[in-house]
Amino acid sequence: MLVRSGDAVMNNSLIIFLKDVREYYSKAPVISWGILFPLTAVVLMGLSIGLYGENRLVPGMFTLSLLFASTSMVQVAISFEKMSGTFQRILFLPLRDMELLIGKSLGGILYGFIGVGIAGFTVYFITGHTILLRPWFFIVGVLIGSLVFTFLCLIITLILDPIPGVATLNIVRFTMVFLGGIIFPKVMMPKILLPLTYALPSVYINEMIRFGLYNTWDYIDPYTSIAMSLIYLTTLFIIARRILDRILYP
Amino acid sequence: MNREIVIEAEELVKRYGKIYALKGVSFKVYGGEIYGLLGPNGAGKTTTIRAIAGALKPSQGYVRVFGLDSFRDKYHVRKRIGVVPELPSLYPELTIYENLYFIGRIYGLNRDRVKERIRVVSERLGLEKILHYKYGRLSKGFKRRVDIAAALVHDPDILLLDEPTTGLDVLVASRLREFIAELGRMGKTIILSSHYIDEAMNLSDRVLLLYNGVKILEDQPEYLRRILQLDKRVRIYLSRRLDAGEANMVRKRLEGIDGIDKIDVRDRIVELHTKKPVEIVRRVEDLLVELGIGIKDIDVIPPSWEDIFRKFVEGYEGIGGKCGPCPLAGAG
Repeated sequence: MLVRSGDAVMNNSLIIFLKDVREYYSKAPVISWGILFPLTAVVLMGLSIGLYGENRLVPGMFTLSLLFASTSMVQVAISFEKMSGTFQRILFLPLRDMELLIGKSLGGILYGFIGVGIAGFTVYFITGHTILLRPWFFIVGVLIGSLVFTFLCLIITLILDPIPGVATLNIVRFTMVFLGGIIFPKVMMPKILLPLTYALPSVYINEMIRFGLYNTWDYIDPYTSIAMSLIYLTTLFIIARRILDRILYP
Repeated sequence: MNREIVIEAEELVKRYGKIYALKGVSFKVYGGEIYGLLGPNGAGKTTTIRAIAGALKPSQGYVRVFGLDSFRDKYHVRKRIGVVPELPSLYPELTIYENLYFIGRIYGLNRDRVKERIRVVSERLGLEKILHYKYGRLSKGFKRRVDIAAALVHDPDILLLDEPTTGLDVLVASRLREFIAELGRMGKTIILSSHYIDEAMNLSDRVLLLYNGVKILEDQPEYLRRILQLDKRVRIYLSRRLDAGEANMVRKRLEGIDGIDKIDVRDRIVELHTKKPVEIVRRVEDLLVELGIGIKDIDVIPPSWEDIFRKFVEGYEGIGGKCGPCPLAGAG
């Protein structure tokens, strides 16, 4: 019975996911924020590799691409549905909030992996790097990362109206890029800002990716990073579910 | 219509902070019935529809659909109802077919069944040749048809229609009303919310009248129609200002015409209350021409919701009906 109801949840989530991909994959904000911007940023970072060192900068190229790709799809899907009134229509469909949550997250995961793929190609062309020293760490890092960024974006876009939602999301994104361990290595981060860095989930995801790529770490050891990422993931999932519940059933 | 109760609301209250959207509304809907929710904007019609669909948590009271609590058992309740929301709300970038396919699949139909149902509903609604059109590019009338097709794709027992003809032109609205009547004849239970009195009266087997979240009364349209013998206001704009003597004379001559209930002559305006506006306008035009007073414009103003509700309450109680807790008590 449990398996059957689990199948039903996944089935409806997949239907939502496939509909979202069909409806939103070619929307301008998805292309510009989810693919073009991270591609440009990753190329620019790649050109600075000589300055900071490969194992310090390359993980950030992956994390940045993952962050923007996974959040752009969710942000566009929720904002467009809020504006067109289709989100309110979901209220009348026989959907459980878990199905909706998973369905909306699958788009973020898919685009997260696409973003990582784009970063991978860019890294290969710039550095020739092809080896994953800890492939499972890398894959788990990307998977957890895409989910954390997706749920974070889901919370912001659910709470706020579309336009302030985009502005807030960009503040969060760029805070993570500049202060969340993605660009600057620990040695370059002012000590006064370190508590903020450790409060941002990007630092743990970046460390998992770094460990997967180079078997080394900078800010924090990989096992603590996994634990912290899972804590973030669980917390954000619970918050997203509660907010969704409150929005769907006022 | 059968006598099985399919929807039962009991003392339904919905409160948003200090604002009450519904203040203890109770009603029953029988299988196969077209049940009209009538009232002005803000009366609580949409809130009632959402409560039936389990889309909001009642502050007090409950709605049962086929014996199931509409909020707690919303998943099962929604499988048996189809909803047409007030505003077009399908996916603009998807085609009609893709929209219907998505909705059908979410309702649990398998691929073959959903294709079959799309064929059936699209034929019924005249959409079969435009299934590949994107929803976002359709006219309002076609969007409404697709909304209805989406609500029917899983062949629900109950159809909830929230202001289905709002914003449509006269012809499209009329066709849509015919289709709703046809669905009613086919035995579907339909909840029809409308602020158009004639629409709700003509289509419904019974009507629930709401005002400010309060149930005013619930009865068959014939009873309501008997009460709804309302005056219309005819406002005639004159080409010049009348002096006191002329105004007096016009008033006296108008008093001699049968069918005028109230006369007001001031400045350049003559305002009359009548139940027979067409006939009265013709006679007043003749009179003014005879007196050498030109007419600039004529407006026939339908009764306001406030007038209607006051009349409903007075009239209904006058023929022995019992009004619910009345928000207009003491008014007028």
